[in-house]
Amino acid sequence: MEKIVKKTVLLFLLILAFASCTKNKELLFDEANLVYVEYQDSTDYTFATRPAAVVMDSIVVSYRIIGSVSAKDRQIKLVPTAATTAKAGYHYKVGTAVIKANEFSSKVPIYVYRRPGLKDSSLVVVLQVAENEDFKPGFPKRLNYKFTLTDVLKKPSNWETTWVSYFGSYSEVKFKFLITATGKTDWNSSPLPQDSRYLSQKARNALLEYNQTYGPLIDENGQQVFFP
Amino acid sequence: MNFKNNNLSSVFFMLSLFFFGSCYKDHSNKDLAPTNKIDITDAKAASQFVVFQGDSLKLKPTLSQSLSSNISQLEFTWIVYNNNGAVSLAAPRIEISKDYELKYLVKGDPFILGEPYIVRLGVKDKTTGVTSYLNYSVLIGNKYGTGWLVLEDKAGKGDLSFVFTDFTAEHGIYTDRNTAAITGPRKLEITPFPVTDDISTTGKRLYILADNGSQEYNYLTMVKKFDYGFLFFSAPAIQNPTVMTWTSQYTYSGVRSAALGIAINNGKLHSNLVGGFPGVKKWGDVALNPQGNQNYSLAPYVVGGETYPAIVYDNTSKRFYRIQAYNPTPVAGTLEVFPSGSTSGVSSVFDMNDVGMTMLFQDSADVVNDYNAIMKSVDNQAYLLRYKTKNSATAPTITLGKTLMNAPGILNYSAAAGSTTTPHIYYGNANILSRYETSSNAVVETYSFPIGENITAIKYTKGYYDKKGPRLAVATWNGSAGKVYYFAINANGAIGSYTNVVSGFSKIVDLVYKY
Repeated sequence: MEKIVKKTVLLFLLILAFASCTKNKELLFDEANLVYVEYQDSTDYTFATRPAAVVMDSIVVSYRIIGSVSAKDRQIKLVPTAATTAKAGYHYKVGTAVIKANEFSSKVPIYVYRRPGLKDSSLVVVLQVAENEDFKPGFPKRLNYKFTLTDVLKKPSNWETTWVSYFGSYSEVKFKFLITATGKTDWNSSPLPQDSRYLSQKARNALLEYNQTYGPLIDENGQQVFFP
Repeated sequence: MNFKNNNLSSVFFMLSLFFFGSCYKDHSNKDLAPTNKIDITDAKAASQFVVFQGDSLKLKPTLSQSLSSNISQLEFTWIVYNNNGAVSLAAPRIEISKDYELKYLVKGDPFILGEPYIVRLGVKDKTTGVTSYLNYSVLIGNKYGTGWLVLEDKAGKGDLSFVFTDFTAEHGIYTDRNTAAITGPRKLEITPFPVTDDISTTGKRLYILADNGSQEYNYLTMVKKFDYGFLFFSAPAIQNPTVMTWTSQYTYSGVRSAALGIAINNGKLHSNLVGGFPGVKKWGDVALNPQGNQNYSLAPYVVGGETYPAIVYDNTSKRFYRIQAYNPTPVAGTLEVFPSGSTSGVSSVFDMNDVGMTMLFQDSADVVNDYNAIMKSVDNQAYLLRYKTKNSATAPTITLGKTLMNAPGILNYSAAAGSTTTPHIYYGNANILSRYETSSNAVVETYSFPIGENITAIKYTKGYYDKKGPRLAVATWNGSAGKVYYFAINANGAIGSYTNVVSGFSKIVDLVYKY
């Protein structure tokens, strides 16, 4: 009897020992792949800062995946939400929205068109990441990219925080002058130190030249344009 | 018993099978026939060695074969690839020779200055297909790393020569490696510290200023990098450069770093801001003066230090201005006045904001952050102004001295250089080299070159490579040939007699010590 018990225990231990040799399953991410808006989630776009000849432009939006890269290109599905007032295919068109093979992120162009109606109105586009066969929506708070689209000259959203120290109080005449003098079209983002320094120098020299040539530049409020 | 005999029979049968099975004739091709073994050796392959650009890479390893002495059955292939750890796996293998003995001129592709390479010889026995290899580890070096870079005017066109530390010279360096002509060469500008401008790789900068078309060159190879206009956000309409340099505001771990670029073009100031933030940095637009206009004309000198990263002099208003480096104010990058008043005023000996004289020359003094400026008064008198670029809130004064100079011929000097170790300014007038002592206000020593051999450029360097004291380099021109004389300056600043002279130059416009 004792012999049987010993043999049974030995057999059990042998089974246990060989069972432990089973290869571990690798701890890899095997959830569904997700995608989200990588950086900035909104912008204001106006054609008014571009030359009249520009009838089409693009806004580039970065998307990034959560999960593994793939050996094949994968589509990102972007759909306009109910808040969108612009007409797809007429005011805007989403370009190729693809995460390329072996890449984690992609820059998706959104083409915007200068339509007559934009001269007196501002439209909104909110593009939301939707589920498709390649991706599920990623971080819930980073699924939407919103932009406004107009052909009206609008005061940059960061004028009072960024530009006021360089150029003083806002006026439309001053802003148009700055656009012409510097050639800068995107005024909604914060400039790097070397850029703000150059813009300030360029604008001051242009205003000096204007004033010497044509006399003082007067804005829509009857005030002489000057930079502090 | 029978059971035991059966077992023995089975074992015997199996052993018999093994035994006879081993007698089977081998028809395979896995015979261990001896092959010709090629052995390549070279002591040079034991460690990395340096090859200078422009030199020939000559390699001839020792070759031996175990079964043959016929070299015609061997195939030689030399390949090279970049061995930089960041790129070596992806670096392309480039074949550079099929000869046994390598003779390859290291110039341009595939070799890049400063990069490590593996040069590999493969010797293949064409009979057996077996290849033996030998790797050489090569670093591409720059023989123009330390020495004197000399800018010459050859009938209106610029060229460069290089004087090595053994006082041998190589001429025609510029024309050897550049096609764009330098018209009206004026000045060499090099930075002693690296600049990170995100236009090109971080490193020291070399600019050659000329009447027009000044350019930036690769500091190591002296190959043209950029046109003058490219270095500006908006290219100046008139190109008339007199200064293009970088000042250093801070020192980290004993190493200075660039903060502010100053270019003076057509007498106007352009500045360039660097400092670790991203984006391309270029020189900006013309700076306005405090009156908001461009009515000024800057002397071709700029100094900078910890408190005041850049100070320039306006020969129109006859006053100094300061320029700020990084500062989030709209005036940063314009010409600004110096603080005045009883508590924060910087001026005491003379007024930085109202000097009333014309600047003729300016250079470093023998005290760190101190500078000497030679000025001409309205009544044609030479004055020495001394000031510093560093002050404090409790000791704001930066003006240090104003002296009516007793220095014959200084108003018509042809070249000058300030000593950074003793209180002297060396200046040239015709063929006479003079040592002016700022502390005693007197010329205390002169040296005469042959009559007709006039001084065209002077440079002083404290940190000479041999660490045996400062050197003074004086360039002369006799109307047909240029020379550079080298003087070993002693601890008292004395010139003495020259120690070396190098000839074979055209008219020397400027020279700098490159290190």
